[in-house]
Amino acid sequence: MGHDGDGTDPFRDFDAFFLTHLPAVLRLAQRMTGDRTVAEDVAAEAFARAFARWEKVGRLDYREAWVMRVASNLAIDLARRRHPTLPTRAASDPAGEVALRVTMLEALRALPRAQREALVLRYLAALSEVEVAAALGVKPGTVKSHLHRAREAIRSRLGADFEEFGYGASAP
Amino acid sequence: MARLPLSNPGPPRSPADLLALARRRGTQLRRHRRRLLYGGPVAAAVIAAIAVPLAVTAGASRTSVQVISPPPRIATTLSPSVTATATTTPPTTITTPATTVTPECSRRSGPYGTLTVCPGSALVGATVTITASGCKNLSALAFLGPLAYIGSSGGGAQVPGQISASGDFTIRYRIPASYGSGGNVQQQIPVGPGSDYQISSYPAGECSAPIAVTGPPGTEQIAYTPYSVSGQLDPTLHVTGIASGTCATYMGAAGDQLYARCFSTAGPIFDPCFVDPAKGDVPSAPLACPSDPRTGDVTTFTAASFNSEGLHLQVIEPWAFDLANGQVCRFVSAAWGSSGPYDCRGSGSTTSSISAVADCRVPQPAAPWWTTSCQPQLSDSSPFSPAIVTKVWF
Repeated sequence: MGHDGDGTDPFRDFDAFFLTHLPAVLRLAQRMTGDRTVAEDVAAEAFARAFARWEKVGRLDYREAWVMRVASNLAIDLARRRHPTLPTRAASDPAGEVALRVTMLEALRALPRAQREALVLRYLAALSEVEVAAALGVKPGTVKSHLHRAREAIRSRLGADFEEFGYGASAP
Repeated sequence: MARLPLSNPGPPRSPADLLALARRRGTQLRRHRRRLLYGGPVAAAVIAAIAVPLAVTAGASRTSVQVISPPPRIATTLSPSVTATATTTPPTTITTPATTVTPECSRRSGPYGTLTVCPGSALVGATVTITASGCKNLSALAFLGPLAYIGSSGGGAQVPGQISASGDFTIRYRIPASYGSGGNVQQQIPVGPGSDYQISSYPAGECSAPIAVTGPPGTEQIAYTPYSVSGQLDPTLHVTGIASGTCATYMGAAGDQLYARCFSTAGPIFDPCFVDPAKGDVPSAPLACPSDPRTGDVTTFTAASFNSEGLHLQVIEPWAFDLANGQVCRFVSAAWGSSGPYDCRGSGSTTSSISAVADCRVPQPAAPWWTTSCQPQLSDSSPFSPAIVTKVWF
């Protein structure tokens, strides 16, 4: 950083960062919300929060992961407010897909924060375990542990593996 | 957490449009952060008083109930850290409640007697003393708000206390942050400034008197700052323990506040620990790890090493909050599954109509009162119920 006081726009590199990573954040948000307009709002809000503290976020090595993590939390929070009553069974029709997504988001929300964020970054944002570890500030072994426990918790809660809900196929 | 902007469905917005939206919203958040850090105007969230005539004043001619003893201010000074300010230290209370107490009495007279409330104006959280003599046919007292349903399944908040058959009693009562609507709705309604409140009898109509309620206008947002701007630990804090180990830092909702999760060599995990902002992201001085925002009890933690990669983490929820029943709930960093993640201590105020809870969900911002949902027991079968949050601590 070091922009303050040198006469340049302290947010100049924010714009480049935004335009570079917007597509990935939008994909993540749309995957979680299933709604393009909502996904745009989620992505914009996540980037706005980065903008609000750009002096620090801009210095992070994995600042795109920071934004993705915020976006995933926003999507989960939004889903909770919009769907207070969760369906108990998924179906194959469009309404069922929505139900499936809502059910999955609720299951994600019930996870401890560290497990949830590891799962989202690994499988929904398609980061590698090393990248997730760097983004969360933990060791790769810790990420493996978080992922294992998160998947176990989801299997216990939903009676199915995470991949069976269509998540995880894009993870490297 | 700020609410997401609402958008109408339409064609995809261009990256340039979304960038402009993010910058505009980000600028708003920056301004909000400055207010959070350096104080700002008092929130103008005042509930409009809805003039709904409620209980009719009546009582026996010998009835005399008085509410005496001026209520204290709602305690914004309970935690020494909250009031710790220096000439160069920004104010730490984000919203300041109205604190005016008018020492006047409200009185109602009728065929069954007179009921008096002194002072006629009280703060939410204030404790008043209610005394009565000769108030017969009185099985209970209730605190009623303007939207409380009167009748079968009526609303309000019960004033606990022993009422003698003769109608002579003395009760201390804390003005609650919410009351029940009663009726079919059964909602908890926040108590806001206004004059349409009263302490009334049950059955209704035996005796009652109005009581004006002043502030706070809503949930207080408090920045917990255990350090002075020069980096000294607040001398009024109580150091109850000393620990050492390793820490990982992360950012808090107030932006520049750094928290740390610290792993002691003895085993226990401390989270959050507050990093002295004067020491930068990798401080060498001990950290302050509070156990309760209201008592000022802290453990000082000396970190042998820091993992500053944790700066990627950002926590936007408060680390502790107060419930309307007087309990304090604190974030627990351990895995909680579907419970918590806020552990609530204490049994709550004995004058509250709200039962004690064991744990609560993440509080949700709302005006004028934040809300959360809590369960009485740490059990999957224990139901969650809505609760009013009176203070949040960042």
